[in-house]
Amino acid sequence: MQYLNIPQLESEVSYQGKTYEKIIFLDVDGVLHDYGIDYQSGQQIIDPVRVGRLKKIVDATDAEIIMSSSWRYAYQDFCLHQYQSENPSLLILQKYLDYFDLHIRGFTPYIGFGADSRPLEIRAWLLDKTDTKSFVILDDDDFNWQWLNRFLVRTRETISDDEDNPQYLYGLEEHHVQQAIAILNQFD
Amino acid sequence: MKNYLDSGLLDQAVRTNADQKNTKIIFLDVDGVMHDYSTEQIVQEERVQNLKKIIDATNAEIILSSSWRLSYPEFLEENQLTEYISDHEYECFAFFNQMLEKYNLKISGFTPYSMLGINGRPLEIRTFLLDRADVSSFVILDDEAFNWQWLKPFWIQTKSPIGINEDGSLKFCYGLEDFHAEKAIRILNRFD
Repeated sequence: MQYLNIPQLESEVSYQGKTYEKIIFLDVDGVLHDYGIDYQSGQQIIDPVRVGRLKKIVDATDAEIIMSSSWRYAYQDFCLHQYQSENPSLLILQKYLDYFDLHIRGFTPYIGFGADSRPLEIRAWLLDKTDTKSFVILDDDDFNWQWLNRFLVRTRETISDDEDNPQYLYGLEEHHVQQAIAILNQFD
Repeated sequence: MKNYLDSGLLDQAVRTNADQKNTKIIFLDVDGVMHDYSTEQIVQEERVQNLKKIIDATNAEIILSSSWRLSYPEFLEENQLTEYISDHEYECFAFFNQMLEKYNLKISGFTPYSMLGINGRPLEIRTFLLDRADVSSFVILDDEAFNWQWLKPFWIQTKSPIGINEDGSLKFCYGLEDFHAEKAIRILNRFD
């Protein structure tokens, strides 16, 4: 349990003086793009259409975005270096976030690996937030979500459940947007 | 908040049970759940029967979140009057225990103690849940409108309006009813 002090301090940094009534926990891979697709040309690994859908959720709910994706390690570093990076993926992500006037307000703490890690990191972030009224988790992965399933919008659709070669479609779609808005606004 | 988080209470709160998966939890308040304030009974047997109904249908564990937990653990340990347990408390705890034993119910643990006020109990429950990856679902049986926020879908309020008093204020009854038990079972079994 030694780790508990560290993530709390991290979350307090982004918490001071702000209210976080509604929260979007944002995964990136499989949410803001479909794996393996080269959008447009070059190295466009983020789909601007999916970022636009994220914007729709924010506009309809006034939610704040907390990054829960493994991208947060590189993105935190990117922020600390005044948004300078040689990593084209980060630059592309930031370009689309800027275009849609979206801001990453914070990050879940880093606790570990495995099926229990992301749910634990989200519970740790939520622990001291007495003002958080509702939240949604945008994620494509099969973590051990347990009761957090109630707040999960899974951005992965099965298009072929062939045991040897299952096919999935990843990414934030219109129906996910509606689902996320309903979860975030359920207590309004 | 920071003092609380650094105080070590978190460590006390965590009861990791790595081998066990898909645990269901009932966070149990006592006053207003196990009895109606209008009765002199400390615990009403029909409320205990309703709690038993939930356990039988879900196999959930009971975690005491009530303020009773501040001295009840000592009662369990000592099973006698101590300087921290008053005569009245002793009588209440003994009767509560008797009822639990009669229906083969067990208190498996306690939420940690954090602070008073509307944010206290929700924080204590969030703290309990923090490191419990094995918890698949839970319900909160409580009569009081704490600042539950996103915990609301898991909360069953055992306080219901039953009319209007002479002074125009609402009149309430308290206690775990059959329909509360049915709702608790639905929530606890939702992800089965």
